[in-house]
Amino acid sequence: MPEENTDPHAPEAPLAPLAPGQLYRAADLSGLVFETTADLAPLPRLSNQKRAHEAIDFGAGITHRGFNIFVVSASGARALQAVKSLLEEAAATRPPPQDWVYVNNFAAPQRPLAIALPGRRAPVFQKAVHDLIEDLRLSLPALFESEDYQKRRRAIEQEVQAKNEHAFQALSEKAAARNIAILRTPMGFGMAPVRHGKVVPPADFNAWPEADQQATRDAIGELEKELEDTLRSIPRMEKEQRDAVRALDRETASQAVAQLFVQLRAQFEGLQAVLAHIDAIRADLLENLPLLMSAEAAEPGAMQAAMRTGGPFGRYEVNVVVTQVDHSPGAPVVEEPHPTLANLVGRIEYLQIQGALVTDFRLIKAGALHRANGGMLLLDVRSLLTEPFTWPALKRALRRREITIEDAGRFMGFNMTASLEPDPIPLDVKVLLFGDRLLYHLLSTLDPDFAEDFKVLADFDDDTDRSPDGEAMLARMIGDIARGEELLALDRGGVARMIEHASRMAEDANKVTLLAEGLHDLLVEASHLASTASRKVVTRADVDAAVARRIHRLSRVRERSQEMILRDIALIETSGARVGQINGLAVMGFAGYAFGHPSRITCRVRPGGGKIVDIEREVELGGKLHSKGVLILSGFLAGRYALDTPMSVSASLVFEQSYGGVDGDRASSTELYALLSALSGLPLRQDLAVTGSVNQHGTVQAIGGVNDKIEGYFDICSSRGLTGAQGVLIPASNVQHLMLRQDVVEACGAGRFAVYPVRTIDEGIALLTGRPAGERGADGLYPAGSVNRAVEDRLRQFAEVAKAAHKDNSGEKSG
Amino acid sequence: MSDKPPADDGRLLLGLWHATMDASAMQAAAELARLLSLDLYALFVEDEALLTMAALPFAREIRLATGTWSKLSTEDIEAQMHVAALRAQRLVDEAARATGIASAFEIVRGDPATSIATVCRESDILVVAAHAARGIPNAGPTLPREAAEASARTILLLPERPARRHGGIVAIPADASDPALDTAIALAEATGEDLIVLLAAGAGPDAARDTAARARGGGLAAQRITTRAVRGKAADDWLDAMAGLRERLIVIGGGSPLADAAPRLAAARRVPVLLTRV
Repeated sequence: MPEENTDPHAPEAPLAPLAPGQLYRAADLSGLVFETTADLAPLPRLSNQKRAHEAIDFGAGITHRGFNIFVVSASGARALQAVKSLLEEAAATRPPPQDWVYVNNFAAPQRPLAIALPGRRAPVFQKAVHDLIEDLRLSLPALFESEDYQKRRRAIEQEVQAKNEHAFQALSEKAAARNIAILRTPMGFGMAPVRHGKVVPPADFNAWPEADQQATRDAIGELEKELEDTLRSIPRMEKEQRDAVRALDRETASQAVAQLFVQLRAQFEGLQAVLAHIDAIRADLLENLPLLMSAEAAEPGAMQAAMRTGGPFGRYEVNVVVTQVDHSPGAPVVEEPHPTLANLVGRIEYLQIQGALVTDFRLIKAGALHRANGGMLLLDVRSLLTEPFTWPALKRALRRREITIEDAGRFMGFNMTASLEPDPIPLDVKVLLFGDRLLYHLLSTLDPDFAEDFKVLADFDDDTDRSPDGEAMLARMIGDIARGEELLALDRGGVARMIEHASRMAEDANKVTLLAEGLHDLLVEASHLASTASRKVVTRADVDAAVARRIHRLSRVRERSQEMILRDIALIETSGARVGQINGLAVMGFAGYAFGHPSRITCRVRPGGGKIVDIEREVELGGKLHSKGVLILSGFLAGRYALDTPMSVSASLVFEQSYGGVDGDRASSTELYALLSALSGLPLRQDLAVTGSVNQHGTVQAIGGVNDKIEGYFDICSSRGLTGAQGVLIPASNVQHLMLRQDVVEACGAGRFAVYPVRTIDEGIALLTGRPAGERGADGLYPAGSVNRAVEDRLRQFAEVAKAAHKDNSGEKSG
Repeated sequence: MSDKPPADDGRLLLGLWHATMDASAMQAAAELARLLSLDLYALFVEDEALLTMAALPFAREIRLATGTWSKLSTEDIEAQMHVAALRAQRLVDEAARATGIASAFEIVRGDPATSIATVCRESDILVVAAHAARGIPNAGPTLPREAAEASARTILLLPERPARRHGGIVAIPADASDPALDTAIALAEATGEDLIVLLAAGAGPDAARDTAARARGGGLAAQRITTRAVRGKAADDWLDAMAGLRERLIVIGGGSPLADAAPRLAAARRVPVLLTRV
């Protein structure tokens, strides 16, 4: 039981402001020997991300299905490059995967065949077949124009020609002997009697004796039958001729190409699929020889169109889809920066020939999965998810363990042209997705397949401890960035300032950020400034200037906000005292730059039903967390004051001149101070601003953005003139996060400004009212003159009022 | 021949009638006309013998497309001839337009041989069918060769669907002084193609040398001139000698022993043969 304070007006132990050393932690590089970052050894890859490093090693090494890796990192692109470099080193020692080619399926051209070859052999196969085709292209025409072939073919053709001519000749002579002529008509043949080489005119014919006319008709009837037989035999003889020529062609070509195919097969001994395809080429070649030869001999105009698809012999070409010749030794590590469906699973291209879209196996193009097959594929998950059809396609490929080329246009119904269904290619790839935590969380929550396909999480830390080792590591990381970007080296002062800024970025004096992107940008600017000033190294002053310039560029909104306050448009007092009114602190963000600004919070009370009205919530400007904070105030009041009476207060709380949303419970302690002031009637100091959340027991809790908030209020006070009484109350647990601007630190050191670490509401209210909070005495009462006593008395008073009002109401009803 | 038209600039005279015309053959003819700076003159003859036949009471025809017999009337034949004439005119126009030569198309009724002989000038090149296509007589669109030879000094034997439109010019002159050689040289020069001269083995070494010299004198570079000696006198020997040549045209001198085999050469090689008679 605490001892009762006999003098309630005597101040409790005054809350001391923080010393300058607690407001900013300078970097300590005493353990690191170097003059400039050029002297620092490069940092081994991911040495500052041990957890993620281990996860990647594990995920990359395990071969079981589904152990793909999701890399969570706030600095996506840099994490990707770091992981890629790491994987490339590891992949270089792994065996190269197979090459893959697509070839024509002679039995079903719409379903091209996929053939695997040992790594780097696909181009050899492609060239060997291409050479064979070139040989055939040159040798076959010569072969078919050779004296021997021409002689044999002529014999076949002449035989048929002669047979036809002989048959017609015989028939013509027979007809002539009977004074009948066989005449060619536009559509066929007809017969007519002739005299003296002329067709007998109808008048003459009709003048003939009936017997002569009939004899002529009979003769023509007989001859017509023979003509019919003669004409009918022509197609049969022509077919016999074609068959004979085809047999001759096959025999001629077969002998000529046999040795070429033997040589080709010898190059790929043991590769059964390749040998089978070589045999298929040979069979198809012999079967379609006349077609190929006539196409090859076609006119240049027609050939031009045919050549766009490779000409008649193009059907035998080999389409190398993926080959390890394109990669450095070892397994491939492929990054696909633009993972459209086509870029991921490959595509089938089309040629426009005479208005029609045509395609064949030679127009199948590899996707990233093909190129990464047997190795690793790195994808930015945001890019992947924003491309239509790609995420399901990737999952399908991983599930089926095969790459099926899918056409987005077909999904959408855009492409109605007959297309190909290439053989799927077996897939053995490790996929690494890179994204932020939100995307990882969303995928984990919303996609039931996600956990099965991406079992390994490589979670990159955003920051690390600011130990001597941590600072040394960061110094080397800064050196790596400078080297990598060919920037000026940093001297010790420059490195120290960068580390301190990294700590500010981490919003923690005991941490440094590992998000290299922010450091990189600052470093580039600092180096630029140093170069402009003709300095050889980047100094602390350069880094300071770079920070200041960046803030200046982004400060338009901040300056407008401050201007509103300084012109008394946004009402913020920085002196005096007011009942139920307090300066809270909020943080605004713009383009990655955050700044704090004060915001007036007011409270009014009256007897009521124990409800604290959060006006922000009533008008739907307050978020859920803000409402939670306000409800905690009710809990605090109910648990601390007038425990023997009903809570009979009605209070309203509002962020004055706030027209945007308010969320978070970081202002709950501030609101509580305003409430206690309103209840106690004790004015609050307006030269102080407050931040911090509170729990139901009155403990002040840490909040974010503490540095920005302090600096925001400091800037207002500084503009109006520092009085020495101004300052900010922050949760004591936030002291470790302080990395304040140098001008703020200096002002505090000079006693012109103060930062107070507050543990409890009692500490804070005492500072704000100048009265002790007061502890409940043995008599169960708070000491007279204390803030708590005033609050409790007011609440009891409200309860009496409420009780009386209740009685009046009851009397009226019974009366 | 005194009733023939007076000598004038030469024409490529194409006698056409009812049978179907082959577009590629027409194109080849037009191309040759262009190379020789000739106009294309097409005469479509409506064969009066067919009209007479169609007027007979029992007239009918067997149609090649269907193999069936159909009754014939004069109206039927006239309609068929009209369609054939329209088609022939379109082919002539297209070929002339494609090659950029002047052309004329005329329709007459009468006996084909007589009609053509009437309009043919000595300076004309008369186009005739190289052979009976598919062995069917009179299936080609042009005048029988015998009739042509009686009308013109130079005739062009045109095969059905010529094998190619580019390639060397093969010359088969009777000797080194044969005017056919000049024609072949001019054509090689005009087309930018090689000249291949085939000479009978018995012609002797001087013939080859003289021939080459004339070709060079005609403006052809030496590397574009080839001479080959042909062993044997039979048409097959000459065909064997042409194995591997991808010629576009053969020019045969009228005095050459091979002149009589010209139709066979055209049919076997499937290229036009220009036969110049002395």
